[in-house]
Amino acid sequence: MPHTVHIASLLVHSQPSALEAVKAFALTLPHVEVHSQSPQGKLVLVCESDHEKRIADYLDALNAQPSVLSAALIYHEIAPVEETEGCTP
Amino acid sequence: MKLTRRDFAKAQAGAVAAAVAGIPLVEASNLITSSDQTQMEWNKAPCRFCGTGCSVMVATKDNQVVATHGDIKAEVNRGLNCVKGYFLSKIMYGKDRLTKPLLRMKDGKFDKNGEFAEVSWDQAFDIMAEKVKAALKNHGPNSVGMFGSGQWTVWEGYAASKLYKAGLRSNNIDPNARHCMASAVMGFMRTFGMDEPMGCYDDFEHANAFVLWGSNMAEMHPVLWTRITDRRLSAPDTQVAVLSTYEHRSFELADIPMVFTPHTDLVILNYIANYLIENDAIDKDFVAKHTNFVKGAEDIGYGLRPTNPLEARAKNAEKANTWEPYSLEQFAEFVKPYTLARAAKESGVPAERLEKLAKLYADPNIRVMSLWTMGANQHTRGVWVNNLIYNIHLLTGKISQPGNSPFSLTGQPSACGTAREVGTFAHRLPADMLIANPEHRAKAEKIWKLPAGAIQDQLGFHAVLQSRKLKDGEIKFYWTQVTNNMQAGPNVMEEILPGWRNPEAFVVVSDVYPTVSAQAADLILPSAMWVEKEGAYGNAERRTQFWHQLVKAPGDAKSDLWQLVEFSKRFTTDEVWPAELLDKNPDFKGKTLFDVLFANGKVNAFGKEDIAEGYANDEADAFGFYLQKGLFEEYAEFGRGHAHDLADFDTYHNSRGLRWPVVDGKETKWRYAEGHDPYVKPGKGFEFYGKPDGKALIFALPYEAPPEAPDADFPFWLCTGRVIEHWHTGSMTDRVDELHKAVPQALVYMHPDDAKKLNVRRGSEVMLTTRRGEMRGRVETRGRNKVPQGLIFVPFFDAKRLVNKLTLDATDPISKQTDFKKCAVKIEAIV
Amino acid sequence: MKKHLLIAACMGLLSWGAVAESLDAPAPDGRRLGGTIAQELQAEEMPKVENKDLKRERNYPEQPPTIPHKIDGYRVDTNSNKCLSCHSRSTAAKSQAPMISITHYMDRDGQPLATVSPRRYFCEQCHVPQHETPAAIPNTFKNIDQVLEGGASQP
Repeated sequence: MPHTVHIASLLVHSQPSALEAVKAFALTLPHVEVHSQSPQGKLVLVCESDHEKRIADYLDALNAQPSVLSAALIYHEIAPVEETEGCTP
Repeated sequence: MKLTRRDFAKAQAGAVAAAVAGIPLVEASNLITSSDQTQMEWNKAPCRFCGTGCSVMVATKDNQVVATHGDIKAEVNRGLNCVKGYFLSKIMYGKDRLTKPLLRMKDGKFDKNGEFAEVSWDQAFDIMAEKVKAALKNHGPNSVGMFGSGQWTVWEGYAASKLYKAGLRSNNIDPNARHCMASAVMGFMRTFGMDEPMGCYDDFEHANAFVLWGSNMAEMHPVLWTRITDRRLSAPDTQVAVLSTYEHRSFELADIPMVFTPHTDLVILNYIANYLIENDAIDKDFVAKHTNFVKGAEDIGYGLRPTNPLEARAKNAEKANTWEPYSLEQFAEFVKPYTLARAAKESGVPAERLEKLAKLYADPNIRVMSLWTMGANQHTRGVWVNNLIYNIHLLTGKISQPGNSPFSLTGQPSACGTAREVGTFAHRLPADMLIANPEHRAKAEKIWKLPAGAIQDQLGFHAVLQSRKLKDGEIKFYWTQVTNNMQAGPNVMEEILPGWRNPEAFVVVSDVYPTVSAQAADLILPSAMWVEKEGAYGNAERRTQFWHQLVKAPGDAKSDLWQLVEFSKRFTTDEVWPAELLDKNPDFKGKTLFDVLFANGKVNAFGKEDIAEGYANDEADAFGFYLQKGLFEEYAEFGRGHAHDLADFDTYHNSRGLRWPVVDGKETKWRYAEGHDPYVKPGKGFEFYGKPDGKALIFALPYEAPPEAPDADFPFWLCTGRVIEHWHTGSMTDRVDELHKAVPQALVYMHPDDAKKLNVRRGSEVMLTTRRGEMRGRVETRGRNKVPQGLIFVPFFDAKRLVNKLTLDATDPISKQTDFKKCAVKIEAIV
Repeated sequence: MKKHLLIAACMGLLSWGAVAESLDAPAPDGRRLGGTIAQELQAEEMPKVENKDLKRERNYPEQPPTIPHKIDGYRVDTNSNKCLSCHSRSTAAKSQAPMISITHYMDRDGQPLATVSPRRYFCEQCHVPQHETPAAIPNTFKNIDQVLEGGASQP
C-alpha cells in the first residue's frame, strides 16, 4: 500500500520527574510531534508514517525507556495520500 | 491558515489520546496554540504585609493568583519586594483555609466546651445577635467589644467603628495597632497636636545621616532599608547609626553601632539634648519662632491593674498625659545631669560613639533622618521616647525639610490608613478627633446623619483593658477581625486566655486560617483576604493605596466588610438605642442599624455602575450598591478642609497612591513647611498648625526605671520581635513552604557564654519561665542576631512557641501600648 | 529527661495545671494542635539547612530563587559581600555559580550600572536558604502551567 499514510497517536505514561527526558527522546524519533502533556507524566504523541511497522517500532522504543511506565497506541487512521495533499513522508 | 486533511487527522488523533489520558485540550499544544489562552491579567495592589506599603503587580488566571512581583511604577519600592512580598501569591492557598462558619456545639446547641461544627451564616449571625442583644439589655453598651486591626482595609475599619460607636453605642473598639503604634500616635499628638509624620520616603534620598532608634529596618522594613543602603553605598559621606539592645542585621551597614542596656534610650536622648545646648548647637531662631517648652508629668506608673503595687505607688498615674509650661533655661537645667559620662555608664555604649551620634544632630550641615518603630513604641515610656526624639529635631530645626526628618515607621499595612486616620481607637473618631470632645462627637453625628447623643461620651476599653474586662466578666460579647491576639497579645496565660474562656463571654473570631485565636474562640467566621475583596490601605508616609477585587474568596468565606454590614441588619434601633434618644428622634424608630448606618443616602449613594469595568465586587452584588465607594466618600468628609484631605475615590484606583493632604489634586510631601504644605500660612516659614498657636512642644521628661528588670530569680532580659521571613503571628507566611523552610521555628537567641554557663549548646531545648508563664524552645547561639550577655531574643511568629505567655502586660500609661521588649526571664536546660 | 519532665509536670500541676484544664477546649488543628494553647509541647529539633546545590523550581518567573546551599558565617557588610564572591558577573564564570540577574545591575530608575546596585546589596532580603523540614501546612497554590492545564492536575 504505497499510497497511504498512517496517522497515529500514542499515549505515553512516564514518571513525572522524567517527563522532560522522555519528551526529548520522543522528539528524536522522525515525524513525531508532542501533542500535549500533563504534570502527572502523561505525554500524547502524534506521528505519521508510510508503514504501520514504524508505529510499532516507536512503541517498542518508548516502552524500552527506563522511566516509561507504558506506551500505547490510541488512534490509528490510514488515509490515501491524495486526500492528505502531501507527499509521503 | 488552511487546515489540511492531514493536519485534521493529526489533531483528531491527538485529541482522542488526550481525552483518554484526561488531558484537556485548552492547554498549550504543539499543534494548536493560542496566545489569549496563555495571557494573564496583571493588576496593582499594595503588599499585604508591613507598613512600608510596597506596591505589587498581581497576575491572575481563572480566578487564581498565579504570580506577583514588585511594581516598577511604584515610587515606594520601584520594582523591589522583600522575600515575604515575593511570595504573596501563595498566602491565600494554605490547605486549611477556613470556608464555613464554625460554632462550638454540643447536642446541636452552642456550648462553651463543645466541639466546632459547621453552621450557616444565618445561624452564626443568629447566635451573635442573641448574645449582643442579651448583653446590651442586661449590662449596657459597655458589655460588648471589638478588637480590630491595622490590617483592616480603610472601609472595614470605618464600618466597624460606625457599627460599634454609633450603632451599638459602645466605644469598646480598639485595633491591634494599640500594640504597635499607640505610643507613636500619642507622641505626635503631644508634640504636634496632629498624628502622623511630617516627612515622607523622599527623605531617604535627601538625608546624609540615618539614626535607627531601636529599629531593625533590615528585617522589618527591608524595602526602605534598600533605600538607605542605596544612599549609604552611593554617597560616601552618608553615615548610619544603629541603636538597639542587641546586634542584628541592620548593624551590617552601621558606621556607629550601639548596643545599649534596655530602657536607657531615655538617658541617651536627654544626653543629646544636653549636648546640643552645651555646645551651642541649637537653632535659636527656629526654637523661638516655632516651639514652646513644657515639663511633662513624672512618676506615671506602668498601665498595670490598679491593684498592682507598682501602680498603686505611682503618684501621677491618673494624670500621666499632662504637662506644665517651662522655659528653655529650665529645660537646659533639666537635661544638665544627663552628661556624656552618665549616658555612657548607664547605657553601656562607649562614650566616643555617643558623642559621634550627638554630633550628627549638632552639625547644621548634616541632614538627619531618625527612624523608629517597636523598639521605641513598645516601651513603658514609649510616648516619652517619641517626644524626646522630636525634641532633638526641634532644637536643631531639623524637621519638615527634605532629609531632615524624625520618621516614625509603621508596623502594619494600614495602621496609619485605617487604625489611626479612621479613628478605630477606643478614644478616637475619624481625622484625629476625640470621643472626649463634645464638638467632635457632634461633628461625627452630623456627618453620619445621626441624632445628637448617638455617640456615647464614655471612653472605650483599650486593647489590654479589653482582655482584663473579659477576664473580669464585664465584656460579654467580643469580636475580633484580622488579628490574632491570643498569640500576639501580652501575658496570654494570666490575662488573655482566661478571659476568652470565661463562661460569661462569647468570643467571635473572623479569620482566614485556624489561628491560635480562632482555636480559643466560640464562633469562627471565615474571611476573605487581600485581593479577594476591594481594599484600601494607608502606609507610613501618609500614602493611601487602593486595589480591586481580583479573585473570589473560597467556599462561604466573606469579607470582614460584608460581615459587619450584613450583621447590622440584625438590629433595630429600638433594640439597641435608649428610649429617650428615640423619643426625641422618632424618625429613627423601627429602623435597622443597616438602614441608619449604611443605607443612609450617603453610603449607598453610588450604584454598581460606578465599579470599574471588568472587576468583581462581591459586596456590591450582595447589597446592591458600591459600598466601598460610599463608605470612603462619607469618611473623606471628615478630613477634607481639615488638613487630612483625601482625593476622590476613583483617583486612587488609577494611581500608585497619594500622600495626604491632597489639595487641588496635589499630594503633600513635607507637612508644616511653607512651600510644601498648602495649610501653612504664607510668611510663616513653618507652622505646626495642630497646636492652636502653631508651635510644637519640647518636653522635659526624665529617665524612669522599667517595671520589671532582671534579678536573682529571673536573671535575663527577654526581648521579643519579628524575623524578615514571617509576618507577625505567621498565620500567612508559615503556610508558604519557602518561608516556613527558611525559618521553621522560633529560636531562643542567646549569647554563647550564657549558653555555656547554663550548660546548654546550640539546639538544646530550654524552658523559659517568667512570673507569668513558661515556654519551651531551642537555643540558637549563632545566626542573624548577636545578643549581649544577659539578654535573649525570641520571635513571636511561631504558633507552637507562644512567647507571649511570658511577656508582661505593662503598658505605657499614656498610650496604653504594651512593652513587648522587656521583661525578666529564667532559663533552665531541659535534660 | 524523664525526671525533669516529671518535675515539670508536678510544678505544672501546681501552677498552671488546674487552670489549663478548663482553658483548653477542642479546636481544629492549625499551626498549633487544636486544644493545646495552655500546654507546652516539646520543641522540634532544629533541622539542617539543605545543602545539595541543586536548583529548585520557581513558582513563577519573578520569584527570587531560594538558596540551595548553606550560608553559615557568610559575611555581608559594608566591607565585603561573600555571596558576590561567586555570583557576581565577574566571578560567576570561575565559580560556575549562577550570575545574579540583570535587574540587579539597575538603579531605582531602571538605569543600568557598572556594578551591582546598592539597593540589591543585602542578598538575604530576598533570597533565603531552606531547611530540611516538611511544609508546616500544605499549600495548594497552582502555578500558571497547572492553571492552564486546569482539570488535568486533578486526579
